[in-house]
Amino acid sequence: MIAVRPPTDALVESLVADLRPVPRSAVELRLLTGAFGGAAISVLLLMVALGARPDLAAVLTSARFWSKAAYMGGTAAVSLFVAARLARPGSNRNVLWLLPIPFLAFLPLVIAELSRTSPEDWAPLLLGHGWRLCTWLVLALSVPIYIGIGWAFRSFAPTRLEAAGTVTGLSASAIAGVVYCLHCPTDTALFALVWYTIAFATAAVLGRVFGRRLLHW
Amino acid sequence: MTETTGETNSPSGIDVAAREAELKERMVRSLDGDAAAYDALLRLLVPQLRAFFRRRVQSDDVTEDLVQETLIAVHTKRSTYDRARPFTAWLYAIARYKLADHFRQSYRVMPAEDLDDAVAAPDFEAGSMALIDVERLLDGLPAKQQTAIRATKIEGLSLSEVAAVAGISQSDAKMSVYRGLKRLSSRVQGKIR
Repeated sequence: MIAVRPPTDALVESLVADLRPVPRSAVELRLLTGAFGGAAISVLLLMVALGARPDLAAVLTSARFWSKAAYMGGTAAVSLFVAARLARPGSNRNVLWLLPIPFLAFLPLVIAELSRTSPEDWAPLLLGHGWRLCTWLVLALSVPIYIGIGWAFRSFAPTRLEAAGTVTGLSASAIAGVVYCLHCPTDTALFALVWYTIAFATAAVLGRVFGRRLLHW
Repeated sequence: MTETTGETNSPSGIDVAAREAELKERMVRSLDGDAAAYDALLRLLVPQLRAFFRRRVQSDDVTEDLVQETLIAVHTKRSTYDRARPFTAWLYAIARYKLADHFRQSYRVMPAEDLDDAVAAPDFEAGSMALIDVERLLDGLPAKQQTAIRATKIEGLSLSEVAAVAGISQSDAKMSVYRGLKRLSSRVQGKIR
C-alpha cells in the first residue's frame, strides 16, 4: 500500500472539504461574463465621453455598417473561442489558425470597394472622418474589456502564456471595435480594415508582452 | 522517507486505459460535487504525481512541493477540465506547467539542455499519451480489424487465440490484422505528408 506523508494527506483533506460543484461550461460562462462586463463599461464610457454617432438609427439598415461591425464581431467571436481553448490545459489541438479568418473574409469587401472607386478617391476611403483617433479610441475602449477578460483568466489555467496573452489582447480590442462602431462615423471597408486592424495588432502584441506576467498562475 | 513505489509507471496499454477511465470517472463525479469520489481521485493522484516529479527533480522535498502545488492547481483550476477530453492529458499539462515553473525559478540548478530530457522522461504520462494516440488511430477502423489488431499487437494474443475468442477462422483473423495495419500505415503516412 502507498503511505501518504502527513502534510500532503492533510492538504488532500482540506481540498476535499473545499469541494464545490462546477457547472459544465464554467470556462465559457466566466469568459463571456468578464468580456461583456468590460464591454458594458466601455459602452458607458463611450456614450458619456463621445456619444453615439448622430445617424446611428439610419445606418442600422446599411449593409456597409453591418459588414464593418461583422468584421469586428467575427474577430471577437473567433478570438474568444480560441481564448477559451487556451484557458484549458492539455487542449492539444492548435486553433490559432482560426484567428485570421475574419480578416481574410473581410478582405474581398475592401477589394470590391477599391475597384468600385477611382484611385484618386481612395484617400477619403482610407482617412474617413477621424482616422487619427480611431485606433487610439479602440485601444482605450479595450482596457476595461481586457480587465474583464483578465479577471476571467485568473481562474483559468493557460499553459501557453504568450499565445493566451495574444488572444486576450486581440479579443479585448475586437470587442472594443464593436463598441466603437456605435460612434465611429466612417463606414468604408478600407478604413475599418486599416485602422481597426492596427488597433487589433497593437493590442495583440501588448497582450503577448504582458501575458507571461499577467496570466501566470 | 516513506515508501511510495508500486504506482503504475510503465504499464501495458490496458492498465493505462483502465486507469484513465477510473480517474476520469472520479473527476467527472468530483465536478458534480461528489466528495468521496474527489477524495479517492486525489489519493490516486498523489503517488502518480510523486513518481512523475521524482523522476525529474533530484530532491524529495522539491518533489513533495511540486506534488502539493499540482494538487492545489488541480483543485483551484478544476473548472478548466473539459469532461469530453482525456483527464490524463489535462492533469499532466498542469504538472508539466508546474515543473517548467520550478525549473524557471531555479534555472541554474539544471543545465538547459537537460530540461527536455527531464520533461520527456518515459513513464505513465508517455504511456497514456501513446495510448490516446493509438485509440484515436484505431477509432476509424472497422470493428473486426480493431479487435484483431488490439488483441494481437497490444494484448499479445496469438492468431489462433484471437480466432477462437472472436469465433472466426484463423485466416480471417490474419486477414483482419493485415488489412487493418495496412490501413493504419496509410493513414499515418497521409498525416505526415
